[in-house]
Amino acid sequence: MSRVLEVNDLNVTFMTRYGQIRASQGITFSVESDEIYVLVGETGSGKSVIGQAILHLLPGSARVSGSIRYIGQEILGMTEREFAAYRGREIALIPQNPSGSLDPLMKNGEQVGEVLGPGVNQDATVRQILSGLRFDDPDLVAESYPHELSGGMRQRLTTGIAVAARPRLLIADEPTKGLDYAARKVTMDLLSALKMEKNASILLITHDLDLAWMIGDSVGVLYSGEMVESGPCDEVFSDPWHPYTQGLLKALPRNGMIPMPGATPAPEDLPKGCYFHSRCDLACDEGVAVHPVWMSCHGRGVRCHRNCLE
Amino acid sequence: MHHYTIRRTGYLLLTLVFASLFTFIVVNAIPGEPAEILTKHLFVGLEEAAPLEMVAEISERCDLNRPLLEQYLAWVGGILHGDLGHSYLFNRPVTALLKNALPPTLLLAATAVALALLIGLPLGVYAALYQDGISDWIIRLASVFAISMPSFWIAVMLILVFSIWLKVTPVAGYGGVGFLILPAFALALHSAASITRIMRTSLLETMEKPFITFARAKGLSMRRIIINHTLRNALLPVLTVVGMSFGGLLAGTVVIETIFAWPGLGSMLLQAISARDVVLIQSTIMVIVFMFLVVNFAVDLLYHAIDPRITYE
Amino acid sequence: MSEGFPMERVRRWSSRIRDEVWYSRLMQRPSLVASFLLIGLVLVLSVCAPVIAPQDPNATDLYNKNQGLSPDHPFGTDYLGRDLFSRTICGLQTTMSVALSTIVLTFVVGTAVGCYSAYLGGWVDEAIARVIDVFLAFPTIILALALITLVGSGILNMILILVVAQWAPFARLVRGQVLSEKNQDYVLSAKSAGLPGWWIVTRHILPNAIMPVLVFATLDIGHTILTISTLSFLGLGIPPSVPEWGAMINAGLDYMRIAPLNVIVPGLAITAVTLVFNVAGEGLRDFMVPGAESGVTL
Repeated sequence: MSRVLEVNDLNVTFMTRYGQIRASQGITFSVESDEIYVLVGETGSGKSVIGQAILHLLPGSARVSGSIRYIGQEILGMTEREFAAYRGREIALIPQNPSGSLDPLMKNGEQVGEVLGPGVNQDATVRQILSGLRFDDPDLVAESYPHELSGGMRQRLTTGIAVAARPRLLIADEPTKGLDYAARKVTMDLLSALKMEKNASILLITHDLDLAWMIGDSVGVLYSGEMVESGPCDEVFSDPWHPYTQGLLKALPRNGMIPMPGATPAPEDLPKGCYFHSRCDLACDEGVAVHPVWMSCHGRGVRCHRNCLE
Repeated sequence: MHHYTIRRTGYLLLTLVFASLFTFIVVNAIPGEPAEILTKHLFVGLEEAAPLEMVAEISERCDLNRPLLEQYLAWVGGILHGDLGHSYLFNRPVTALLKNALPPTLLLAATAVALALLIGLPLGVYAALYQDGISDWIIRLASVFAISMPSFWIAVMLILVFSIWLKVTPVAGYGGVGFLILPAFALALHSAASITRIMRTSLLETMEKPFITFARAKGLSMRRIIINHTLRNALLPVLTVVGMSFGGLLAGTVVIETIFAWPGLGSMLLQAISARDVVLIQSTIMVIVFMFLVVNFAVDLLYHAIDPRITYE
Repeated sequence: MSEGFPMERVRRWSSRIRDEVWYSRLMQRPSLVASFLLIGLVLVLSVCAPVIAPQDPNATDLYNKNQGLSPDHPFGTDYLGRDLFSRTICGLQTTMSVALSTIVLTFVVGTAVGCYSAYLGGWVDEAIARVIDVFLAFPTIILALALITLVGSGILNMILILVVAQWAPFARLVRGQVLSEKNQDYVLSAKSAGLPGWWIVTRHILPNAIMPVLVFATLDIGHTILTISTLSFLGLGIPPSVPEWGAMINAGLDYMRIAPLNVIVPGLAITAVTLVFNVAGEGLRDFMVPGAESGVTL
């Protein structure tokens, strides 16, 4: 099993007029081929930034360091020209905001077709892709405009655009955000089918724990820009080690919807010591001043003073 | 789309009809005045007071004491025959006068629009690409200055600099390029500044939109992103502004044509107003309004041809 | 025994203002503050104009006509020997009084009609909207010229004509704003609470809808100033005895070659005042758009 994506010690900092803001720190994970790796976290955890960093889509004010390897090739330091060949063809994005991500003045079919290179029978391929997305009337969809589709349909359309050129790695950024239950189900099925039929690896970025548990293979839990726990999905969700992961699970509606007290610290004002300390059920004394280190063992990892592994 | 066109055409005609009614009422509203002016023109001379019996007789003979509505309908009826009355200022039929005055105004207006686009679009794009650089600041400053200057003053200053001091252009008159360039430029400047600003703003806003980021994520070439996505979306607001500023352009012809002795509708209107030649005034105004409405209509149709998100008002 | 001047009150009031959010946002934009100060300066100057002017703007001195710069006449004289500097300053008073009266009246009329029409809805609204469209079919100056045929010149007539020519864009803007506010939840709940229509409009809808209209009003002052000077340039509107910049430029045309200042200076004055209002209006518009700071989405 080769690794499609290897991220090591990724740091993303934004230079703003209020000072430097650390969006992501020390992120390390890898995505094997044919697997769905989920990055889970709330807003402000820095998860979307990671996806943007991989695709070189961060704004100019961002400073990135660390290493990102795609099939062994280091891509972090590549120039725009070098990396442009990878976008769409090797690594593709399913964007967070499907409605805003579609050009309102261009027909849907054309927006799918322009991803395909020249020399391809565009119309036929586009029809094929649209049918694969479970659209009832692919021809109609192709001839329509984005504003004529529903939110769920737009989500499927942007998914179709992402897979059109058969990329090896798909980055799905919050694919179920704002969707109703039925649309979420369709999206979930679509992502699972993509993994199996197309042999694609998926980096799924979401705050939707149910989605993560149902289709994810491995998971990394993010809090305040850093990873606090990781491991195989089933293991982490059935036996969470980090108090934050435990809190996330407790907050699910089916588990009683018990919210965690407090709020995520502001990125420009991160506390010394453990970031989660002020909200932690099992708050320890070291957590006040000492930042917990990452420790890994048997395929699982955690960053917590309470979880000292052998 | 066709539905929309038909609706808009009907609407255009309706507005035209009401506008003509409005114009007629405004211009002819003072009872007895047309008759008095007519008398003065024909018999007594503009300086003298017209004797009342003469005015009454003229009024009777020329059907000027009919109710306003009847006179209005006669005017409109006349339009359909090509007879718009007789101008007493120039002593010629109004239709002939309009026919003569229209080409110079069309030439001037078209040149001004072309100039405004040729100057405004590139400058706006340039300012957007070099945002916050020195050239951007200069362009923005110059634009806001340009729209704060009265167009008649722009014309006068141009004459001062180019005709009087530098002596490269004639002062005034009607003719070829040499005569056209100063008035066209004076007329175009406001529109050019507006176009520059909207092009810049629109381009900057469009480049920030999520669908442009997604287009990059799709791996499209820069060329395709700019031409097929960015420009098309960015030009929509510019189109609207061009249509709106055409009204100001037409209004500007009144002053600019007068200053440069350009024999178009604008200068003719001013002369008609000074002489209170109501027959000429009302028809000239209607032609100008018609031009304005037609251009707005065309812009509207073009906009909806590009933007499929039609909203019915 | 309290002081003559309520210093304590002023202190408390100013510290309360400084706590307001909009105040700190305003202070972050020095150019906007500067343009407001300039507007204040313009207003002060226009009120004090006759006092500031060193000479009587209407005093003719045919021995000194069309002179250039001199200590007596900083901008020279016009074709009747009148001091250009004084005339320019007094022209400010003329221009500003007409422009401000026009804008205030246009604002009142346009807002009233727009509000009334939008709130009532139904066929009344449709009819008024058509009327607005008819008025909008006329470029401003054309309509003003047509009205001058009707009522003739004079300062009051001028104000009236300008209001009639310019109320329509205001009404359309206000109508659009009120229409979009009308269906908001807070209006529906006020209605169901039984509050009378005019109360809802003035106390609830208007405050929410008014900002874009204020921006438009500020920008329209500049437009009005240009229209006023254009009309007076054409010899229509303001009687010749009153110093007005457009008319001054017109008068200076004949002597452009020998006394160019007569056409340059009043034009610069028009441009300067219009510029101040345009910059203020646009700064205000940018100020109203929230969150234009460098945002970072995580």
